[in-house]
Amino acid sequence: MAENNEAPGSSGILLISVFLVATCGLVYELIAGALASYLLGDSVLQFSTIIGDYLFAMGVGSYLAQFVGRRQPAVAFTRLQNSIALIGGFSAAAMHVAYSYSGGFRLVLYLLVFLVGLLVGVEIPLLMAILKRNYGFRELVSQVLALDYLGALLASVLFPLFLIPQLGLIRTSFCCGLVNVAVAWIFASSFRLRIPLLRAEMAVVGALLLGGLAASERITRWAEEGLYPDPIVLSRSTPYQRLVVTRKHQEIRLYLNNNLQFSSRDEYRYHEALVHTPLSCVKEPRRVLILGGGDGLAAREILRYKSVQQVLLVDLDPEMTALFRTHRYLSRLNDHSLSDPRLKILNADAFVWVSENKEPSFDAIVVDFPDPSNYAVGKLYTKTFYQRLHPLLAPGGALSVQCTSPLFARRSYWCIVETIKAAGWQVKPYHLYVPSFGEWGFTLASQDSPPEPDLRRLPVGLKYLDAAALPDMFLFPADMAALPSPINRLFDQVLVRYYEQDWRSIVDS
Amino acid sequence: MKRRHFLQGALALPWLASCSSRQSGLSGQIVGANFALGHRLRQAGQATVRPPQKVDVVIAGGGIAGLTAAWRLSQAGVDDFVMLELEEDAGGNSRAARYPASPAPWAAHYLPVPTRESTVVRRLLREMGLLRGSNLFEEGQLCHANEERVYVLGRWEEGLFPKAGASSDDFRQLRQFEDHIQKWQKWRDRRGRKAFAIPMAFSSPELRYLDQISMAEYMARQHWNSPRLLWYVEYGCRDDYGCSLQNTSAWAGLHYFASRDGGGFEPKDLQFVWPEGNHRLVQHLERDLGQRLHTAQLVMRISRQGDLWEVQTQNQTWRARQVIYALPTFLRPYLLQEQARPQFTYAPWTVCNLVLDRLPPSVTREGAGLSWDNVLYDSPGLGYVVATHQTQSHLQGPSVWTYYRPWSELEPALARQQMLDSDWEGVCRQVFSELSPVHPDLREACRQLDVMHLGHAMVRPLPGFIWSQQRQAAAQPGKGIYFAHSDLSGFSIFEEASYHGVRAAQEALSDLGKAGADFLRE
Ligand SMILES: Cc1cc2nc3c(=O)[nH]c(=O)nc-3n(C[C@H](O)[C@H](O)[C@H](O)COP(=O)(O)OP(=O)(O)OC[C@H]3O[C@@H](n4cnc5c(N)ncnc54)[C@H](O)[C@@H]3O)c2cc1C
Repeated sequence: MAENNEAPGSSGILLISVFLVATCGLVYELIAGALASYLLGDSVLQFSTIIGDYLFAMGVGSYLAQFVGRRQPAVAFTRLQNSIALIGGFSAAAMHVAYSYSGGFRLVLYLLVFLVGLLVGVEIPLLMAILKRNYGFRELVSQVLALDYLGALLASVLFPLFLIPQLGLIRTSFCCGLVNVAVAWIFASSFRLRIPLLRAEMAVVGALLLGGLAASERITRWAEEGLYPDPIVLSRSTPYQRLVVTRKHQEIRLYLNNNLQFSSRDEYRYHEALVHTPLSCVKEPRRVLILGGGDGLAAREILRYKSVQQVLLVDLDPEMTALFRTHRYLSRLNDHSLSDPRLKILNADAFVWVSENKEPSFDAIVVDFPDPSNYAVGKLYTKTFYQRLHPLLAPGGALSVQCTSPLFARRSYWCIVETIKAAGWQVKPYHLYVPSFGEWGFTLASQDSPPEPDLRRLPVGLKYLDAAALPDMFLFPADMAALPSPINRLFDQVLVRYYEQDWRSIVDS
Repeated sequence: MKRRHFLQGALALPWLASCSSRQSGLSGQIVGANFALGHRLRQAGQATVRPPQKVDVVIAGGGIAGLTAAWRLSQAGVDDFVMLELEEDAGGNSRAARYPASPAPWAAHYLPVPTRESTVVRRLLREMGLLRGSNLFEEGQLCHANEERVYVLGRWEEGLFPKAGASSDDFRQLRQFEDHIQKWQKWRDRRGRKAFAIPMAFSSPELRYLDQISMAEYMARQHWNSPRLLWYVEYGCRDDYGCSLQNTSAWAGLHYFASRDGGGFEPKDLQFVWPEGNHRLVQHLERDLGQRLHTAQLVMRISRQGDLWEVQTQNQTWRARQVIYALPTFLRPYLLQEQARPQFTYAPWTVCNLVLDRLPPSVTREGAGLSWDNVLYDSPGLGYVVATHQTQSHLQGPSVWTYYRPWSELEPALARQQMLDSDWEGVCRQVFSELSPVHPDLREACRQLDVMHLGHAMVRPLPGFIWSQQRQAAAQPGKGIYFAHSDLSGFSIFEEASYHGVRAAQEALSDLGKAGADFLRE
């Protein structure tokens, strides 16, 4: 074989190989550590076990190196490099998928880290063996070690500053794999290893990695899907949100930006409470306004009233309303409410719309926005916003507002109630249990006299609200009872801070 | 619950978000500053002459000073005036850009709630319905939460002082500085005047000695050497004056921090903010001007002809009994043929508007959420202001960001040369290389980037300038000519511009025998 046909300058190439091997090796290790600490939490534990695993594997590899490539070290090195490329390159994708689709994430994690460590461990002594021909021992050890550590430095700087922000984990790992293949290829050419099988192996691994790189977005999505409990039947990114619909047997769930919006199994509880409480306060409601609620479920409840002649639905996202108007399952869920001739859809930011609106007033208003998890959405829960609703409501009308959970986010809930009150509304807070959400809260509000829901006005065919359930909703047991609260204002949104703290304490506990 | 939130956390991982590396086409240009016309000032070329026209008053310059002068004249029933403005729109440094997603400021972008002494601003805000009586605001137009955040050590923090990585000594010095400022806020001289008032004309002259040293020197004398505190204070100087600590007089530096006392409103640190910046105020001021506003008019000469003033533009001569000169003071030698060259120096700025198809997903990563003002610690630019902050209640969709870059580290002449030499691509490269480490997905979300170079953006409050004889002399009226420009205060903010506009108009009115209410005091 052409083993001794070393090309001139190849010791330079060898040293560069040491450097690149070290860089890529550490990047794989960092990928595993970062991924594990994000997915499993406790980054100190994850990083130390992974570093331990990796170093131990390198030790094992170094020991085994004496048995490897005795006759053809260059061929062995090329093959090793190629295997690292394959295993390391696919490691991030494999770990993602393992996390989403199997219980064996930890096993896959430590196995992959071990394998990469093992191979890198074999490689360095092997390279030294090859280099021994050109260098004295001391010189050799010091050069190789220096480059090895330099590579590690480069990796640890590149990883957080460039690789993660620019490429993301999956792409980073594929790219490092490609670097490994390239090293193998250059190495083989400089040693004039003209072995067709070897070349074919490298070409295959290179092609696989390129394929993986090209498909990395799809892999990401696929891995993401595994995170939902039920099979995804539809997922779409609109300019405003990421919308995922899952379905299992008859249960359909909608997630917006990965937050559960409803489950078809119990959403009637939520929407009956949201809609009929205010509508039953009003004699013969004719014009009704929905702010938010692009899923058409609140509209479905509103359209039960014979007296209703016009419903205006103001929702930010045109794709959301189009989807719930036309999609087979989804439009069945809302009883085709979004295609009803009495209903008009307007796609606008409600915060702007309520300030500019010139519509005649409405008999009832249903306010159903996402929870106040950031300052932008939080504007829809401020005193200014609730003040701007006044001119929109006709005398004798009523309004309901979804107000997050009075149990999990008690301070947030009462902060919203206080804010609505401070904006000049007569309020009656209420709540009910929705199994897929837990305990959930709303506020009923009106202008001159306190709102009075009237059981006799409830439409027939409701599944939850009745003479027994209605009065119950207005009672708050001690663990959800009112708390004094400052009000949420545009320039000082206490609510968003409360909300973050309330939910964080739930998640942490 | 736990699982749901846990999954959210996992899904919000940065690397899971799709980040295609597509390089979408970027359009844009260097806009503004009617250079073509402006350059004729220094050329001897004669104007094409149409028959001269006569009016009572010519207002030269349509910035805030000119506009408030016109507003004051109108309030007094003086309607026979024209306003001559170089650009296509009035507003000067308070103009705005219009984009489909939102208007955005070209320079001035906020107005703090007025101090008690800011009677002109209070009157104006009452007229606009933003202030009722003396303590009711239209809350919707005050800056919404969160107002500002700073990016330091890989994370956004609320507020402006970079806390991450700060030592206990940094914090101790910050507290000392804040206490010190509070003392200045409470300080009064024997006649009850504030140390640092807005408008600055109401400040006590007893502290003029503070104008003799630089803010850098002042900080050193207080033994304040914390790099973070120095950055924070210099940020203020760069923000309002376009100057480094060395080039800001201590009087001006302290004025920045101590003068905005909230005017009796609570909380103290509120400010008005609009998508189009202070152009909102311009729109109000110019609404009744109609035909009297003449744009694309380069004032080339202002000279006394017998009893009248003659104001010449590139294509028209105006004869007027009175002239309100609302132009930068450094143009006086050219326009008025004055021999004396006033030592007014100006800081150059570059302002960019980035038109975004959608907010890049990175705005919600790494700490405090997107704010109105987003500042990068230790960076050449001041960061960016989000035009849609006041209008949107979501963090997606289209937006416009205004990026600010004072050239405070260079001598103005050198900076101006660099600005002239730089092309659009070069500016884009600079802006993205500064913002991309924080928003790697910005380039992809950005469809258009427009650049405005402002060669003489802000007068510089160099040590010794504000309380100098020549600054005060420059505001003195001549026979039938009255001077109004924010630079007469030694630093330019809306309150100073409007003060001088109204002052000049009232001087003119009083020469006409029409002295009415004194807007500067009530
Ligand atoms: C980048 C930047 C940011 C700023 N941000 C703020 C802020 O947030 N808040 C704030 O209060 N202030 C801010 N300012 C200060 C701002 O300049 C003042 O608020 C105010 O706009 C100054 O008004 P002015 O009338 O004094 O001057 P200018 O705006 O300079 O007005 C002068 C006018 O004269 C015109 N002109 C010049 N030469 C001629 C000629 N020969 N013939 C005819 N017309 C001519 C100009 O086009 C201009 O319209 C900022 C300034 C800059 C540069």
